[in-house]
Amino acid sequence: MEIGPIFRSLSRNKTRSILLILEIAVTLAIVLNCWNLMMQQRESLMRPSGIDEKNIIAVEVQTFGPDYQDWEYRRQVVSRDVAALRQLPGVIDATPISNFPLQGGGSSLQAKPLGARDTALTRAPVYTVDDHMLRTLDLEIVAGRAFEAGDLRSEDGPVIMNVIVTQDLAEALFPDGDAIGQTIDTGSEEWPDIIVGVVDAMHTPYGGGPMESQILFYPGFASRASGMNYLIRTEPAAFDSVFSAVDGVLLESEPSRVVQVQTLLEIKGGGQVISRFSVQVLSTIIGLLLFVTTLGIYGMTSFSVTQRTKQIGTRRALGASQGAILRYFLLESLVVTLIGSALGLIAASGLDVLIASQMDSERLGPTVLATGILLLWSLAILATIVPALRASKLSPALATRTV
Amino acid sequence: MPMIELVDVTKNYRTDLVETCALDSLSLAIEEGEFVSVSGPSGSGKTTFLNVVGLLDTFDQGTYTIDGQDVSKLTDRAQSRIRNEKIGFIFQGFNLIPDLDVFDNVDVPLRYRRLPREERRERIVRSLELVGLGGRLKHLPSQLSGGQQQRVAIARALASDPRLILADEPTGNLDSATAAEIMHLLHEINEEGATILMVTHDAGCAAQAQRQIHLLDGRLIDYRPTEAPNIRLSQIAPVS
Repeated sequence: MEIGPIFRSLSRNKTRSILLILEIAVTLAIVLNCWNLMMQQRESLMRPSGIDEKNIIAVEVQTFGPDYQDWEYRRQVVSRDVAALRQLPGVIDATPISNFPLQGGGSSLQAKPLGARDTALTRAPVYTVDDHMLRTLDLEIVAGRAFEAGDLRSEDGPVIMNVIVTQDLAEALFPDGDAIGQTIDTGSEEWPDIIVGVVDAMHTPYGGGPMESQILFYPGFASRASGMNYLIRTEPAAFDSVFSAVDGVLLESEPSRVVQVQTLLEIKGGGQVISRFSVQVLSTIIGLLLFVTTLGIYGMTSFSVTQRTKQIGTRRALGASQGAILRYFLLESLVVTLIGSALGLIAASGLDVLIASQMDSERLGPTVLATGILLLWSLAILATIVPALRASKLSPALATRTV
Repeated sequence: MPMIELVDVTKNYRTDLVETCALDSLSLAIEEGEFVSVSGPSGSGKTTFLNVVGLLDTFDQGTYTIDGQDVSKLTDRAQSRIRNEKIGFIFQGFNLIPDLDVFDNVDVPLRYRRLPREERRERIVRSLELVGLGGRLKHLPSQLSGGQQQRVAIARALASDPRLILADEPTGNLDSATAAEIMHLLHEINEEGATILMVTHDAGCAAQAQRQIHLLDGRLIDYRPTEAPNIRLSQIAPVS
């Protein structure tokens, strides 16, 4: 093995080596972090929502007029609407909801155990639903109880609320024990919330990170002066008929409204646009960087072979076989790539810390690190093999040429 | 058994338009321990001859045996092994690797032979001391004079303990005093038993060989095996 002489030779050609080492290090740092973010986005896209999304209809109602400024009036309209929707043949259940899940955003808040430091704050998407939420979304209570009619607020204004959380949020807030009965602070110590139920896994895309499955449900008649939203879960066979009937049912009681009916899958598709675009952008960045770096390694090796033609002839004259010349250039490339990779790992860790401080993302894991490094090494070998093979084919007679 | 023996060796260079005969049915035998010079005008085939003898280039016809072994049908790996173990090369332009220090330069052929580290080190130090450069192990070629660089190249050739040394214009890039030193060194090596085949333009250097061969248009001129004894080291001009 010629690692010693190769290392000493590289150290005497600092400019050429350092430029390539830096290129490899920067590429590795960016590629690993982009890869990590991309994998998280992909995982988020592929992850089951935990709700019966195929059989749920999403209804957005726009309202007009002064009557809807009144909270009590809206409560009566919402009660009447959901009662009528639940009467439709084939409907399993329906609930008002403050905003649709799976749409890639919505409302979120920060929650912590009452009295805990701000470092314990956990961000969570939040939905206001009524006591038919579990059946509508097809979620299971794993601890505590479901919402009851008495949990729904009977008047506007701040009150102490009973809330339901997903299991992931319960574990994030109370990792050491049972969350049922615990009090949480969601922005006001004076009006805290009490956890009365924990549901099994639910996941909604929200820009990535663990918050997507740390979800909080408030009980209430979700509505605004400008409108309200409903989710309707149907029997699979009745989906189309319910879908067609929804706007008629709603407009029959309150004709001066605009009703937009969509499937929840359509909502989900729209909600995933940004994530899918992010995956495309990140994979493009990764591809371009790896391509440019591969080109750089190819260029350096190719230039090096051209520059050292006479030296290669001399080595051949001194006894190097074609295989020995091939191994020499592959080894030289590997040494450069190894040094670049080592620096790249340090830079990647730094960038990872920076990203984690700005985004709610998962840290770089061993799988991403190993995959990224192996990929870069493979590309380095691929980029070196062609000029190295060319070098190995050079004639030993070049040693005596006066070029 | 001759150290090298060529029988009717022919080498042609072809382009799309022209075919040039560089070696024309050349036959020659050199015994072990001889010091032979090869001279001739430019284009006479000296370098081609050296390349063929040194297994640096192929030939088209004829047979060539080195130390009794027919080399014409050997694989690249086998030819590389013969170059590494039996032949030492000394080039006009020294051909040292500029990025490697003196120690690593001499080490190059030894690494290809996969000798143990300690043995390599002993051989490198011994051969460099033999050429008077035992104190320059860590110098780069650029930090040495032309004569010193050629001494390193000779040390590199000697480190492998070759039976045959091929020198291509070994004094061509040196002043006369340094050239005399190098010739003196080559005679010392020859006295130790190595066969030396030296291509040179310099009539003075050629005359110091035991036997002189002249090439013209790829053919030997007035070739005859010499019966003259070796010129002894004492007959070489003293080094100032």
